[in-house]
Order: sequence, then C-alpha cells, then structure tokens
Amino acid sequence: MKNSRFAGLLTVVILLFAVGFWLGKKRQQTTAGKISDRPETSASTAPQAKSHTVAVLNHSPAALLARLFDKLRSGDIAPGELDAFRRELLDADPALAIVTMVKFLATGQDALTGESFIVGKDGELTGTPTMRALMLDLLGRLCKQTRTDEAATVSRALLEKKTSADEWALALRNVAWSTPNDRTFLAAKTRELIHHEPWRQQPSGGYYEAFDVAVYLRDASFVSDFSPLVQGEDKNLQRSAAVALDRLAEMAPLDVMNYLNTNPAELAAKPFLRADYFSKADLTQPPQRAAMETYLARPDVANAEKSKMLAVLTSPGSFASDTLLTTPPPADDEPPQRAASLHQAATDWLKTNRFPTLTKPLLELLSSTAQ
Amino acid sequence: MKSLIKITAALLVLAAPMLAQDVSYPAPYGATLTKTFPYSMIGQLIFASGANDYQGSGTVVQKHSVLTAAHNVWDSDNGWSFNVDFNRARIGAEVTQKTTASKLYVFGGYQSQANRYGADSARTFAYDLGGLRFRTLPGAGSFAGWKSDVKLITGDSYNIGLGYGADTHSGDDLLFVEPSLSFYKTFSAFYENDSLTFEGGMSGGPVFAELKPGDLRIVGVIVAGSDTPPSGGIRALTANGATFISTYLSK
Repeated sequence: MKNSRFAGLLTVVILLFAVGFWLGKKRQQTTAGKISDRPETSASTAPQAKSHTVAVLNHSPAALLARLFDKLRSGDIAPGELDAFRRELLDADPALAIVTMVKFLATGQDALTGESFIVGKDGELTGTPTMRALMLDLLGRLCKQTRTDEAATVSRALLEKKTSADEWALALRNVAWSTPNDRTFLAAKTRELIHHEPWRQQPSGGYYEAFDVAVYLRDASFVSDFSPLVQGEDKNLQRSAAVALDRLAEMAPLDVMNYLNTNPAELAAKPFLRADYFSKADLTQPPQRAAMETYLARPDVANAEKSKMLAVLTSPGSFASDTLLTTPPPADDEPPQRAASLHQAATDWLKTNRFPTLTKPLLELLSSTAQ
Repeated sequence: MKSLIKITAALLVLAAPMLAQDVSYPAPYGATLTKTFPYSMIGQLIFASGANDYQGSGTVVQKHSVLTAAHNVWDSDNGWSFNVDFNRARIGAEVTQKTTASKLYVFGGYQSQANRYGADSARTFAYDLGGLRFRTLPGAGSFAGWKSDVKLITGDSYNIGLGYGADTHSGDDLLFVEPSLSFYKTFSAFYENDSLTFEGGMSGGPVFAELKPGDLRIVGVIVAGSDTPPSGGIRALTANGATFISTYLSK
C-alpha cells in the first residue's frame, strides 16, 4: 500500500515535471518566434529597444525642430545630421513645417550650426551658420513651393531690424522670390545692408552674397554703392564688389554704360575694371553701340583703358557660381552676330577715322573678328 | 644612455640633408616628353593684365577648352586678362600650336575664398579654377582626360605636376616635378605637398595621377608654391570643380 501510494506520488511529480518542461519549452519557442519575426535585428534585446524608439520618436516638424535645436545648443550634432534635418523638414507637411518655422523665428532663439554660408543651386543654401538662418532658408524654399507669403511676411518684418547680414541676405532673397516687382523696397534694403558699418567692417558670407540682389534688380545706380568698395582698402570687399559690378554690367549692359558715362568720376581710379564693364556691350543693339561710342570719345578716359576694353570685347569673361537670385552665366559660345557686329563697328570707326588715337587697337579688333 | 643620445643626434644630422634632398624641384621635361600625349596637351599661357604681360600654364581638357588657374584669368585690380595666347607643347622658341582664347571663365562668385581669407591665405586658392574657350582647336582635336577623385592625390597613386616655370628657368620649356609624398588637405579643395615646389609660371598647369600604367588623368591644378619652407599647393578637382569643367569646358 505504502509502495503504491509512493508510486502514485512519484507519477504525479513526474507528470508535473513533464508538464512544466513542456510549458517551458513552448514559452522559449514563442520568444524565439517573436525574434525571428524581425529578421533585420540580430540581438535578442533589439526588438524591444527598437519598438520602444519608434514609439517615442515624433517626426512632426515641431519635434524635429526641437530635437535639432537641443542638439545644436548642446553641441551634440553628428556629421550629416543637419542635412538629414533639411531633407526631413522639406519632406514634411509644408503647412505644418511653415507654421513651426514661423513660430520658431518669432521666439528670437538661435544656435550656431558650425556651417558656413554656402549658396547652392537655385539660390538654396547648402550651408547655414545659424539655426535662424537655416529656418529662413527652408521657410523661403517651402513658401516658394506652396506659393504662400509667410516667408515674405517674416522677412519683411526682419528687415526692419538689423539682426545679422546673413539673415538679411536670406530675407531679401525670400522677398524677391515672393514679390519680385517690389524693386524699390529691395533696392533700399540692399543699400542699407551694404552701408551698415558694423556689417561692412566684418563682412559675413551673407553680406557678400547679398550683393546679388543688386545684380538681380539690374539697377545700375548700385555702381555708386559698389564703387567705393572697389576702390577701398579692404581687399576682400574690393574683390566682391568688383565681381558684383561685373555681373551687373553683364545683366544690364546699357544701363551700366549710361550710368558710367553720366558719372565719369565713378571707377576712375580703377580704369581697367571700368573697361571691363563697357566690354559687355552687344553692338547689334544701336543704343549700346551709341553708349560705347560716347565712352570711346571721352577725353577723361585714357587710351590704355579704351584699348583694353576693345581687346576684351573679343574675349569676354564671366564668373561661374551659384548665387542667391540670379542664374549662372550660360555655357554657350558667343553668338556669331556678336563678332559680326564688332567687326562692322570697327570697320565703320576706322573708315571715318572717328577715334584717331585708337587706330591700332581697332585694327586688332578688326583682325580678330575677321572670321 | 649618453651614447644612445649621441647616436640619435648623429642620425638626425645625417637625416636632415637626406630629408632636404627629398624635396623635388621643377626640372625640364625634355623635348620628347613635351611632345608626348598627354603632356603635349599642356601649354604656356601669355596674357595681358592691366598694363603688363604675364605668364602661366594650362591644359587642353576638351576640343575647345583649356583648364587653368583663376588668377591667370582675372584679378580685382585689373579685371579680366586679355590677349590670352595658349602656346601648346612649347619647347624653347618652337611652339607646336598657338591659339587665342575667345571666352574666359572664373569658377567663383561674390564670396570666393579669396574674399574671405585674404590673398596670401592658403584658403584663397581653394576655388582657384579658371577656364578658357577657343574658337579653333587648341589641342588639334585632342585633349587630356581628367578625374575628380582626391584619393588619387592623397593615396599611393603616382603624381606629377607640370607647367612653364619662369622663376629660375626661361618660362619657355615644360618643367616637371614628382612628389615623393602624398598631398594633404589644407582647406576645402586646396591641397599641399611638402615634398615639392612649383615655380612661378607653372600656375594653372596640371597635376596628373596615373590610374593604371599609361593612363594619366588631371586631378588638380597648380595654384601656389613656396620655397621656404618648400611646399606646393594645388586646387584638387573635387565635385564642384568637376561640375565647373563639365558645364563650362565641355566643348
């Protein structure tokens, strides 16, 4: 009896062990099954961590912006994160992104990004030195897509205060994108930027790039704004202003020639640069040919300057770069009509001996345009 | 211990001239090689800037196009260079082919590195690419290949820099210089090499890398040089430089 009771008890214990072992095995298989549902992970703890992260990360524009701002403030930003942020914000719901950026800009908060002010294709920045500049760039780009005026509104308000030259450059671009015909406002604000002494003393990337607004406006009266910079002591400003004048003359040759002819003192100290600004002329256009003839007849201009201008006519130069508002120069060859018109003008001037002191450079022009 | 210091000092004394000898200085490349492709695509540039004439170098990179340094093409005092003649494969008084540029390009805008860092800064030269276009064919229809890959100057590839140096040479013969060390990045697209020097007039000349035996490609343009300390600076053909060439020098 004792033996049978002991045997029964043993059977129950064995059964309990068997059931326990089976249940345990089943639980292990279930866990393994869950892991194998996520083939992209290798560690058994990864699925939990991953699902936890996905649940917490908020990809709304506001959350994206807040996360980036925190990282910039703490200096905890990894290479490539700013570019990723740009892409994510530009891919987000535009209306939400615009509202978020407008709100952020209203706070006045800012952080350095470590980037330089770098203009890329179509005036879109590939580098922005501050968080606010980044916001102004992206806001302008999004509003250009959605054809809404939030960026212009924010930018106009910003242009009432001297925040920074980088912000002003972007604000001017945004206003020009939104209301291209508001030339008076754009010209006045661009002049304010150029002549603001603290910015001129320590020019930032945006300060230089904002010169493109004058070129975009094709406003020859900016010659008098750039001329003192070209003739100043600061080599950096000299160069930037000379480039801006060159591009302005390329965009608005007749206006620039007329301006220089009616303001003979402008650029008198930089004769070889001034010569370049006349060399952009298209002599197929009678008013442009007339402006050039006025220049060639000027007694205050030395023959060396005029000779250079005539030489450059046959090999014009262009600056190739991405700019805030204007398009890069074309890569096409000069049209044959241009050479033909130069040849015709040289022939006419030599035949009538119109510019007797320029016979030699005119003969060279004739020769180089003969084909 | 004392003897160890003595030995080390003696080794250093011996090594100093050896290290100095490692610096490569420009030397004539010779008539045969000057006329051998792709070196035959290199030419001497003679141009006027303001009231003076200057000299530089360039390389034919497309049927109608020559790659050079921007400072051969424009400067902020005198503006655009003019009467830009390209004397290809020149050897002394003998010029294989002479052509005159009809269009000039500078790769740079309002805010080039020259603006931001001053004329003497290494950073000045980072955007220093210029281009020339010609109505006639400056390379008689041939042109040298190029490649945008900085590993070809920072790695183990064979490099050679060439140009028409006019400091201690006549300026009418093609000079070459071969670095014994790799180039290293100084800033942006500006790379330097302390195992060579360039002579004035070599500016705009090519730095070739050998991709495989006999396949030499332009990977940079000579833009700066210094004798003390010996160093040569080039503008590497990075991605934006490649875009400049393929946009404006593609014909």
